[in-house]
Amino acid sequence: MNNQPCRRGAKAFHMKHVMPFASLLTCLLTCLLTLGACGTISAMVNPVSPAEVAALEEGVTIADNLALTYIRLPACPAAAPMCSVATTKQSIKGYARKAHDAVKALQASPAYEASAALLAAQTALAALVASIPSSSVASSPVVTSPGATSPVVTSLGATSPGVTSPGATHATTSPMPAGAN
Amino acid sequence: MSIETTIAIIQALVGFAGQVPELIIAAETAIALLRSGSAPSTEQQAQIDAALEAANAALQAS
Repeated sequence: MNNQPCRRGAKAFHMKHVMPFASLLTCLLTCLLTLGACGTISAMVNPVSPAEVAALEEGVTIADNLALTYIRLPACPAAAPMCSVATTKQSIKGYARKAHDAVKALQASPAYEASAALLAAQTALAALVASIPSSSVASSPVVTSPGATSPVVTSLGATSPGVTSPGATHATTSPMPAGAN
Repeated sequence: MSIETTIAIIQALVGFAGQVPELIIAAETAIALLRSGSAPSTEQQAQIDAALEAANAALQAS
């Protein structure tokens, strides 16, 4: 009999004090989860910064310009001081295409694939750099706009194994993994 | 880690491109972007994209 007022009192107490506390706790937990999720979402949305993507683009552009020097040497055998080997030229183009495509894929990659895409782009750029015969780049023609080139420096330094003289055996060896082209 | 890797690759390119001012400037820009972590401006990004496409097209057409 006397339980009825007591129950009503307990219910009232529950409604008045416990529920707001529960609501507050729920709110607090929601806020904490949201804040935590914000960090996670931030890492997921932007695991690779635009600066990194742009820097890799610059890297591929520079490597492409350096590669052009070798590509544009007269074909071996030629009566020029230096010449380029056809197979090396094709390999460089293959690496350049892969590096370009890898950077473009990085730009377009969704957040969950960005880290892998970044690694792929870095690897592709490193392979392109490694494929360019080193001393052929001293007179690199810089491509400044579509279709236009400007020869910047015309003198070459010492020859390298990748820049062969006419009549020499084609000792050009590029560190290329299988499936370069 | 990935930033350091990219910087190392670009510094290797700088060693390659020792006498070409345009390429040195491009490399310095890239390293500055990486170290600051700031995104390139829309105009700068457009220039970077255009330069990449131009260089790739020239190389593949050679």
